[in-house]
Amino acid sequence: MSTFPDGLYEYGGVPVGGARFTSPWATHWFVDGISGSDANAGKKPNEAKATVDAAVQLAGVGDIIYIRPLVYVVGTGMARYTEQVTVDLAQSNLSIIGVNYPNNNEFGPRLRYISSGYNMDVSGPALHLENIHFFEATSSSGPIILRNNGATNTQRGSDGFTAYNCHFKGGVVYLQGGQAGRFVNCVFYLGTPDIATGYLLLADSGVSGYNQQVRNCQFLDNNGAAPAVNYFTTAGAHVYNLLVEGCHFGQIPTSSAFFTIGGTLSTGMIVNCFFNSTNVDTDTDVSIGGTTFRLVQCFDQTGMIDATND
Amino acid sequence: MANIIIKKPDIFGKTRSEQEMNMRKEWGQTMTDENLDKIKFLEKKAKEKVGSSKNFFTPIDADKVK
Repeated sequence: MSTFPDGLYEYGGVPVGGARFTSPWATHWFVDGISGSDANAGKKPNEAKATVDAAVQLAGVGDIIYIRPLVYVVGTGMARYTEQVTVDLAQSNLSIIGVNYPNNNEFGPRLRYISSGYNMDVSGPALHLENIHFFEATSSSGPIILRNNGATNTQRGSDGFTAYNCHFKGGVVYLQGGQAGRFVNCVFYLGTPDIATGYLLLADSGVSGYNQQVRNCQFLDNNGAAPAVNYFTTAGAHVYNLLVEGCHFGQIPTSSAFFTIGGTLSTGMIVNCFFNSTNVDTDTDVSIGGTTFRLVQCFDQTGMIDATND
Repeated sequence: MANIIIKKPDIFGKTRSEQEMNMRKEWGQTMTDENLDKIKFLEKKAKEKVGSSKNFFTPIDADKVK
């Protein structure tokens, strides 16, 4: 039985396009910032690497990396892995999975990079992230960039990217178009720095996005204050068959719309979402370039949004 | 007779649920018990349908099980 709107699974059955079938050569890697060492082999929990990037650089196609959460530090909160992580083509189909903090299924290890550049810089396709909390601290970048240079084919970081239960704080999550990017059960919040490109960028000016999905995500405002910029945008490029489903958006940005779908050929829909504002105007509060892009069964504080003008 | 030694890189588990159970003995859990149950269900289905005993389902797949 197919289920509206994504039609992706059989009732009681196996989802279409489900598991990654592990390679016989795939290796499990372990990162433990508490008692690990980068001199370790990294292939057992008690012989773990100390940094995430040390494990990533040894990983190959289809490998899986588990990350132990760090401990709470009085005065500064949960300790973070403070490093930049680079995922190249040689690490395609890599899975990076955070182990959750005890008694909190939604709180995984934190990653922060305090120098210029993205916290995670990805060129390899089909990266899967789970339970990772990013906290970018520089004003010129953001938590993660998924690079894609289209036909050149040397950067395919946005193709097949999936993120589940990840938190992205500070700066933009930059998906440079590409095929089938997925954000599921994720939280986006700007915090500081508050940069011009917003929380989530789904395309690049030179590379369109295809078949992307953003499901059950929260786009938070600045703890009671409206953010300055779009929650997500497409940088003027086209996105084709974008699905934004079951998401919650905070207060309307002060200088812009909730989101901007650029590109006159963009297609897709935003369905079953809530916008924390009164009387959302689909002419001014959202910006949709494509004529076949629709708002479906979305709500604001006063009820269902009249989408006749979308 | 020559003995061929095959290394098993998936010693931590051939499936996501096996890995999850092993990780819970080490550092903790990576998913809810509900999602673990759903992933076990998916692994069972995958084995029945295509004979796959090595796979890696994620909670994104588990969320689609209703």
